[in-house]
Amino acid sequence: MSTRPLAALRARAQAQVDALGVPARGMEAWKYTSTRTLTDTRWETRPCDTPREGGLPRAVAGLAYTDAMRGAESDAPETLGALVDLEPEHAGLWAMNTARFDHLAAMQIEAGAVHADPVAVRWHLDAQAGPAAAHPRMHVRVGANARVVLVEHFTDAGRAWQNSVSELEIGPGASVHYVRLQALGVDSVFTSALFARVDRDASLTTHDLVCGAALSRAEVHVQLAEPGAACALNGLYVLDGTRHADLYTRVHHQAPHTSSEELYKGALQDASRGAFTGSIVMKPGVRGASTRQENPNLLLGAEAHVDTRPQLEIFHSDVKAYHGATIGRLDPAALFYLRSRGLSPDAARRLLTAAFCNTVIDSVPVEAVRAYTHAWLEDALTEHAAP
Amino acid sequence: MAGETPPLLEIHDLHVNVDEKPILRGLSLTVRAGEMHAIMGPNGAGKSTLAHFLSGREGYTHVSGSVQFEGQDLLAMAPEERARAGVFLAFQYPVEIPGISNHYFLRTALNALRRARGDEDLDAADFMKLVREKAKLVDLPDALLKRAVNDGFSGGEKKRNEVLQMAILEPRLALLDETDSGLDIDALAMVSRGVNALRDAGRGFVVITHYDRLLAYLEPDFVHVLATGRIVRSGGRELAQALEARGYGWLEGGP
Repeated sequence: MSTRPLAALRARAQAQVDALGVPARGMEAWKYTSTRTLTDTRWETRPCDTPREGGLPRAVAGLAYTDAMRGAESDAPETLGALVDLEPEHAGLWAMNTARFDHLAAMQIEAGAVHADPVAVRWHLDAQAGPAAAHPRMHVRVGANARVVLVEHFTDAGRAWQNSVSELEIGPGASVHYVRLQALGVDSVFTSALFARVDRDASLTTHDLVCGAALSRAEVHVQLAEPGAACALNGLYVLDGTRHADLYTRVHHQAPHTSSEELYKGALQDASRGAFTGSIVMKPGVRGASTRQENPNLLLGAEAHVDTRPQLEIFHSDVKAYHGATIGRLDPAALFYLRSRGLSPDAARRLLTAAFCNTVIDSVPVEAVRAYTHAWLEDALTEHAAP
Repeated sequence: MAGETPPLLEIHDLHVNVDEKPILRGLSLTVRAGEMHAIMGPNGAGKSTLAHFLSGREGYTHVSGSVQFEGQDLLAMAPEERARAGVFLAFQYPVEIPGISNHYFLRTALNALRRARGDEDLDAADFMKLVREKAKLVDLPDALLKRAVNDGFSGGEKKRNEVLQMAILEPRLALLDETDSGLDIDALAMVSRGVNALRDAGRGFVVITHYDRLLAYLEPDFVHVLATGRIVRSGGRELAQALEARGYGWLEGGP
């Protein structure tokens, strides 16, 4: 894309920003989350810092970060924005990112390439001078039969708002594992949308790890575009205080024999709030498609709350669909088992909560991220032992 | 000789209700260090209630009577305090805990007991050595130590895992709640070998079972029959054999 098409894209996006504004709670896609903090704060827009020699604070130990970011006005990929529909009423934040992003991590994974090491992108926003907003943008084209693990890691200092959009075009037979590690400060805001198209016999696995932010909205939009395309979406949100996390997923089965799986787990301490939406669309003609969705939640705080909703729009009969959501407390029989082995009630609760979360963390394919998340979880559960 | 040893466990005229219903109705039992007591009895006699109540599980109402453990009031102690004092219950239905490795769980439990005694935590390398050695007692393969606690274990593997925990935690008093249930003959032999290896002069056992076949391996010092909430007969192995041959019917109504 030369500069002119990018300028045209930005102009169109800006028109949508003007028309739509920030999504509001009245919208179906934003039913459980107030965006007031976005509109009530004067955010100064500024770019994220990019890793360079000497690094940035709060890195994941043992993870090498790419320096693939570049200025937005340099050559943008031709298909930038192709997966992002700016028309819906709730597209305001995507449009804002498109209109304003000033750094772009654009990558092309060659056909057949196998990356043994993860490709990690780091977005760090310094907001110590006052509330600051950034609009990080990533665009990755993965060639046929390539295999790669991508990590997007979000950090900050001060009160920040990161509004990211990431696009993944996954070619036939390719295998992509995408990890979104959100590690913003406790006063910060995160709004993020991943858009992926998965071609024939290709697969996408994602992990959303919600480790920070006062308000976190993590969206995953997947098109299973051709036969044999598959996705497995995973998420973990462990919240305390009055923190709020909204995990929103939407998977379009557009071809026969496509499959999707989702496992999102929430552990809600204190008076925190969680929300999960698992939206599945199966068009007519997608014979042999299957979907499986699970959203177990642990309510650990007396005032904690979670909303969970599967939204299955299935217009074909020859498909398999399962969804299950649970909202519960720790199993008294398991607590007693641990106490009978000498663990204090607190230690038993922490261990069982960690066990619940570990089944998501343990399937992250990057050892450094697993270690980081395990350590983070241990702190999060130690500091906020359940009553 | 037995008279000189202070009792590990002294249960006196114990009455316990579950949902207002009397389950234990005047049970008395004394266990001294070095002794193994088997408690047999028909379904519904209160065998599992006794085991769970002694380990501190919720859902039981103490009506009257006393339980002393090495001279302390056991019933005043929380479940973890009982464990730290040296009481261990091998569960009839061990709980599965996906997401925590068996190895990590065992180390956490051992270190909880060590801390309560004022000892340092055992480090990973020393613990590994200990757990390997103890796992041999019950033939539990390394793979099961790495797997999540009891997750996907067979019935026999779960029971062997209970005995492994017991071997690592080295309790003063071990309560075995139907540890033989659901075991085939090989698993029964393995579990029994593990239990027998832990018998010594300082440790007491209460073995709750429905059948004589476990007792053939363990050879307990005493056999008691629990019926309608109290002990109605006491004797040696021959009592277990008589029960196996004749059933519990001839005991109805008590002694």
